[in-house]
Amino acid sequence: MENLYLKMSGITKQFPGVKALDGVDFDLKKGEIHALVGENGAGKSTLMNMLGGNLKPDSGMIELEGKRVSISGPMESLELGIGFVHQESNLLSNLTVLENVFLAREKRRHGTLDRAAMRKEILRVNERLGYQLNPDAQVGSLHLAEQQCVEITRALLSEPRILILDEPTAALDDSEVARLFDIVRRLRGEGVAIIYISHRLDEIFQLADRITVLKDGKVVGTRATGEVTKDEVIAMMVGRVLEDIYPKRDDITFGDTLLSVENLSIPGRLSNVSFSVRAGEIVGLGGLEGQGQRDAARAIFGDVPFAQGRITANGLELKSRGIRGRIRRGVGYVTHDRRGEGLVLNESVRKNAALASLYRRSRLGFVDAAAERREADENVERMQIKTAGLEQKVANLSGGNQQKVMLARWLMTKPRVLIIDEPTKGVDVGARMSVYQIIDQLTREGIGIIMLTSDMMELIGLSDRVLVFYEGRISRELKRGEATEERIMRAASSMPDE
Amino acid sequence: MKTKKLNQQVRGVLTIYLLLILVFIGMCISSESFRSLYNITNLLTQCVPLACVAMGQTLVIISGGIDLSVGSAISVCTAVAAKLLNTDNPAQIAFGAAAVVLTGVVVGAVNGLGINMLKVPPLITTLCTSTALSGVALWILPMAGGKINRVFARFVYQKWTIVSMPLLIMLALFLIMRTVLYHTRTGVDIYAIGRDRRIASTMGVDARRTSIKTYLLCGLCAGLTGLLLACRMRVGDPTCGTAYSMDSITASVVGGASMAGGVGLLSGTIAGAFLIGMLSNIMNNLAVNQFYQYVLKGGLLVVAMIVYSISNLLEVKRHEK
Amino acid sequence: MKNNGLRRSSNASMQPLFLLGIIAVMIAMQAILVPGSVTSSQLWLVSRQASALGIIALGQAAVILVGGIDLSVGSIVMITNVFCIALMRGSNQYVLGGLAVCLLIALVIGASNALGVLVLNIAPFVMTLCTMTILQGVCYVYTQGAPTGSAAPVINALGTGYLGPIPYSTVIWLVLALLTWIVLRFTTLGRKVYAVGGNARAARLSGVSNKAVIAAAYIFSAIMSMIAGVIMSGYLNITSLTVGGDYVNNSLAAVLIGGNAIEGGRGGIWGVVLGAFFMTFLMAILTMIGIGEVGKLIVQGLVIFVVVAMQSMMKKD
Repeated sequence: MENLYLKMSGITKQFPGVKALDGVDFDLKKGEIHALVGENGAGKSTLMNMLGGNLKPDSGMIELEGKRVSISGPMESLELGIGFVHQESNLLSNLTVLENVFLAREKRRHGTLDRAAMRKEILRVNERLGYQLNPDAQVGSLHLAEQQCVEITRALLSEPRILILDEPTAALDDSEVARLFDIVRRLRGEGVAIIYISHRLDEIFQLADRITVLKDGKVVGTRATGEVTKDEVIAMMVGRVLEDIYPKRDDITFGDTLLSVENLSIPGRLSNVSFSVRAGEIVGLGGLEGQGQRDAARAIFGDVPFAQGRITANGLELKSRGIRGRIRRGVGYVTHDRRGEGLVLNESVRKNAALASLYRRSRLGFVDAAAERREADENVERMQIKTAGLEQKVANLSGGNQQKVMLARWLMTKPRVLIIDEPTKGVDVGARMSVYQIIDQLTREGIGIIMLTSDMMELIGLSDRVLVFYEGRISRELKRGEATEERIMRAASSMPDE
Repeated sequence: MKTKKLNQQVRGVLTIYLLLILVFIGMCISSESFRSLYNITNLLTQCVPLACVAMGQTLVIISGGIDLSVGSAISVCTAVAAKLLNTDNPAQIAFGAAAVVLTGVVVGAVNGLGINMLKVPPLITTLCTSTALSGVALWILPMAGGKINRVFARFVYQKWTIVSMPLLIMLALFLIMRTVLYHTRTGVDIYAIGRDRRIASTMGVDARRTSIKTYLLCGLCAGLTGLLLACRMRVGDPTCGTAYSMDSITASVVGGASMAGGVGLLSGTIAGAFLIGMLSNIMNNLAVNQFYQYVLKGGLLVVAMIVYSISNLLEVKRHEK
Repeated sequence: MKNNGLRRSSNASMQPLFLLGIIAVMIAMQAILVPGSVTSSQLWLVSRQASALGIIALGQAAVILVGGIDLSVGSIVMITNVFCIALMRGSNQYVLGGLAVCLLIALVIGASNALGVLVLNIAPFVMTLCTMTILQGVCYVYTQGAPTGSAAPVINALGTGYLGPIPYSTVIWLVLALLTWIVLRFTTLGRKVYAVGGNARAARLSGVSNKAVIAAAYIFSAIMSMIAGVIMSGYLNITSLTVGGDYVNNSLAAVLIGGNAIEGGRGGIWGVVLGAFFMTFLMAILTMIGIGEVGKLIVQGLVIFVVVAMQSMMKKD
């Protein structure tokens, strides 16, 4: 095929504990929009980061116009004619549009910046793509949609043959989306090949020429848009059998309501979220990333203030702020970012485990060392944490064992309700099962669990009730048995059931 | 809407100039000795050394660093000047003056390399060089003394009415620094790494090189300041620079540079330096105990930080609405 | 990865022992360079000289542990010196009142440092630099640059007296070190200090009120500097406007040499005690072999720089 721009074949990438990509083939033709879809963690970002020069494949081949290339960094990727518009803004807010667009590639005359020429260049791109960027506006003062135009302009500067758009519409409203589509179509008309990543199937069907579906690091298939329906694509994205690593929970009976949330609202992030958790229940908060699940969890835990609503734990109302009060009322929060905001990495297993419950063993301000050692030991034993001892540094433990230390920390506070954010992120498969068993065991002791996860299997396999979030609201509530991947996917992109 | 942010910064600088002029006019009206041309010429000349070194400090602060060693570097430079400029040979004087400025650049190089190659935080690196340099200054010149060639010193420090040679030197330095900061790649890179070193690197900026350049330029400014001070005093003084580390930071911050990096304007810094200079001149004029100046300077920095953090908060709030 | 972590952890705990070794070598060197100069009374003398620095370093260590830095320590010593002598007017009857005022001043200074850092969000070194300048100004204004007076006899005894062979000031230093060690090692507050310095977000999400812990560290540091100031007043028996001079650098050096990490969260107290002794002893030896003020300043600068450079290099691999 003479107009084949890009060919990736047999791309494989292994991360600790996970095979992120497994023999992926992907190609791109001149002047086409090729959509890449899949659930969170299917491998889309990993694949694109290889084109962007941020990651290198373990094996496999990348060919550009028939020539094999190896991309060692972002600048090299740009020089090869690959433009990458990232999901989150990758710009410097204190610089102007012009400075951001041309950073490190400024046009110069007699050694000084030739702002006039650069301004002209931006205005030219403006005209070509039909938007109006003021070259001298500061990027920090622009709307997200305008910032995206800046990124596109920067990407277009080296006349790229390939443009990658990663979730470009995540932060845009309808009219902005329409404008973006217009721009993308114009670029296609000029012969630019576009890789378009999105969760929103509606958009993809409006825009794309071909669709490739990734699942668990493998390509399920590549289809021309006219040849498939949305339902078929959803079926390709999901359609797995539940593996047998989730505990059986049919026999559980739920107790009293432990925690209830009424009309919780944070302007711009959450609106009128209400739900409750009973003793012994696992409530799973699902949906696409960034739809308000985490804001809800953090507001409940008192980390983020909330404007309106009532949160009641054990019959007592919780104030808008105050983590200490939550902990003493028996509410705990296991963070998703274990290394960044969970563990004190250079401290020991014992000290990390004891951190949230110091007050319980405090005698006139002194730590009751014997009690602490005993309790920590019990929990290490119970969680089967593989460690050389209580004094081992947590930095030296594996991801799974670190996660268990986090769980141990919160169990030592004797919680009634535990919020667990991404219980098995960065945890290998073996340890996953034991984390699930621990969670199951906790509910059997009467603890209520709120679980946030982007892993669909986990959400379905573990939750007694799934609450799907969409744009800061609960768009659907599904009981165990009702919750299927298709239903959740539909609710997560706000489509009605079939 | 679009250019508001930039305007806000320029507005800030204009506010300081306005304040400067108001204080000036107020003093002119109330004090006869103040409004004499002689005093005004003197006042403008007095502010020059601080303005020069503060420009260098501003570059470093914009790039997200800090240089606490400029004070000691200035002391060392005056000491070097006292050793090398005690001669009547014009060639030797030219060489000596160049060597003084070069001394500052070498200090900048040491700071830049320590920070970027050995990864020692800017605060610690420059605190260490500051201490070591105060030793070096005492080693070169155990106490104030030496001699600067009179003709040269008089040439560098000659004054006319209002205008003076130091003022012209400062203006030239300002024009050069301004070109570097606003009209070259390096300038844009300095603002870029100041906001976010990682993002700037992924966009292709060589963060290390840029950062080293800012320390070199800052050293250059310190060297020049040392030369100016030596010519003013006509002797070297191994402790004369001490206050300049703190004062240059104050001038930058008063002028709108953010300690978080990425924000600042040279014109603001000059205004800040002149404000500090004028306030101390006024205090001398009013015969206020000179020791109050310490209190004033520390207080000024804190107040400036508070005012800017409040105005930023208000700006963010307005943005949200 | 795993091995590195282990090696680093053993490095940190080894540092005090390593320092002890170096001090032993230095004593041996001194014995060779100046035969007959090493006696136990000479070492006690060094410890007396080290005591003020040692006490300040305890406070500096606490601030660095929570991830800050305190550049105002020297000027707190100075202002304590000024008021201690001025208020006590050379008489024992005013000692308690004088001490109370000094304590109050220290509390106010520590609290305002904490306020600037925590509420106004001013970078720690800028805030404490401002405090330093202002305090210096206050001292000069108060004394008009020409202080007079002498310390109360009790304070003088405190600075110069001996308990058996041991100087009082050394006793105070070691007792304070012991107390600090006990707090850091055995209390919940100590745990929180390490947690806040090691990972502030993690501490917060575990219910630690970071601001209270950080404020406590700044206030503690101010009080330690005040105590050092009282001891120095007794030792000097006069007001000296240069008394605060070296303490910022030397306390940083002592803390860093003692094995504490500049970014916070790691380190202990006995390393800092040895670090203070080391710095003082080093200065004493430099004086003994005829290297003056110049060499001392250069050595101070180099020592801190080399230690931090080594820390950052070890972190890399």
